[in-house]
Amino acid sequence: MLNISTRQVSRGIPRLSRRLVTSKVVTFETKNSILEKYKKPEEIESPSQLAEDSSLPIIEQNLKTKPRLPTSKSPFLSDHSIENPDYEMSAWKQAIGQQFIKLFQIDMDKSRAGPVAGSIYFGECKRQGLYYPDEPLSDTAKFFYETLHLPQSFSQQFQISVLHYWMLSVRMRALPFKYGKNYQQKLVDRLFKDMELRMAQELNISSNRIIEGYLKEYHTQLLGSVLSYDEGLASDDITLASALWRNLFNGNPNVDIRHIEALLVYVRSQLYVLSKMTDREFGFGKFKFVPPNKNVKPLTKSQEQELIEKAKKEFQDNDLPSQRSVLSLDE
Amino acid sequence: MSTKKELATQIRSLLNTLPKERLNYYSSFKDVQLERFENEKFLQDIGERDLKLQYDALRDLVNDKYRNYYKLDDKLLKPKGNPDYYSRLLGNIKGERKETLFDAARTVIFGK
Repeated sequence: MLNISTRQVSRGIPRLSRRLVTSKVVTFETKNSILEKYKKPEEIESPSQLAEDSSLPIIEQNLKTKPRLPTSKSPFLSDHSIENPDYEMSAWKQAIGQQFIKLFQIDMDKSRAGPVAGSIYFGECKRQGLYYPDEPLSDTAKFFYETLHLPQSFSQQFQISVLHYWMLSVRMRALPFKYGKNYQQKLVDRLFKDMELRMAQELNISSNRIIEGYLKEYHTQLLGSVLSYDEGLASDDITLASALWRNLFNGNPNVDIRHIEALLVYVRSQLYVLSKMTDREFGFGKFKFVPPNKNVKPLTKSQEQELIEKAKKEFQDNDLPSQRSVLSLDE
Repeated sequence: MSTKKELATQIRSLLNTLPKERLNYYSSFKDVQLERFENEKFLQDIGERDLKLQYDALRDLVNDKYRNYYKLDDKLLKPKGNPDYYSRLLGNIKGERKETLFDAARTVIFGK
């Protein structure tokens, strides 16, 4: 059913007219210009600067229901001591663990998916859109709620987390299949576990049936968002921008197009940084999202090589059984 | 006003070059924005600088400025974990290929 309708739609695409705006025709005056090679590549502003350029009056979107505000605050990750950033495992526990890994030849790349994707990367996704009433916002949350004027709601937070989940999952797909799949699974499992807990603890929803209903709804939204972002990534900027408009801007007809552009720059720059990381660095949880007030500049070949050398140096002394990995350090 | 009218015309012609969405989403960016920039009241209220920025932003998006600026290589677009992922997805969305029951079962069982 889906295939028939999309085929019909694709027949009607006015491809020729599109070329008028994406024309690659070079005018005679600039064709053989000897100054061409001395021209500096155009620099673009950071996503926050781009969005702040615009002064279009904001028309608040009429949401059907008033967002429910959190009444309490759950721990950011969990109460478990192992997820405390200051936690340090005692030496004897570490020694037993290392021997265990060595004895049973445990595939550490598989085991690492839990703490890296299910904790570090989950924290990264959650942090970006997190807000609590009367608490200061992080830089990225400011970008989403104050600069782009997105509504502060639980569903909006979920959409922001999904966008970050998708960016990470694009990179995870580029890992060897069995590891990438495992990383994606751990991350999405933890996202939904956290949603379930927060709906009960922070939003005070006491009925499990209602929570389950919301989770199913959010799962459908996740599938739809990932499909449209993937379509945008594989097609062009305007398709990705439309996907961002539908999912993050809630299809707001009065949207500031400059804001969509700023968000697209944010997404594209994160994907660029992700593509320049080696599998090993990414697999060990070294990636952090670049704040939207920072500008990402494309790398030269020598800078890329420098980064690879740096990564190799960083991992060369990792000899412990728990630090073993088959993930590539070259790409 | 005439510059604003010109800008609105340029925005509408840019929007008209966009292909129709391949899937039936709940709302179409092209249709909604075309309607917005045809609205006389909206065009009267908006400042010229703001309208110019809307045009510039839309033009950059349509011209794939950022896709070309942050160029991604095959590392992400043909991921080694699943090299045909995007071509298969786009093929299905465009209706160029049809997922058979066997393909679907294979994806569910093996994950790719």
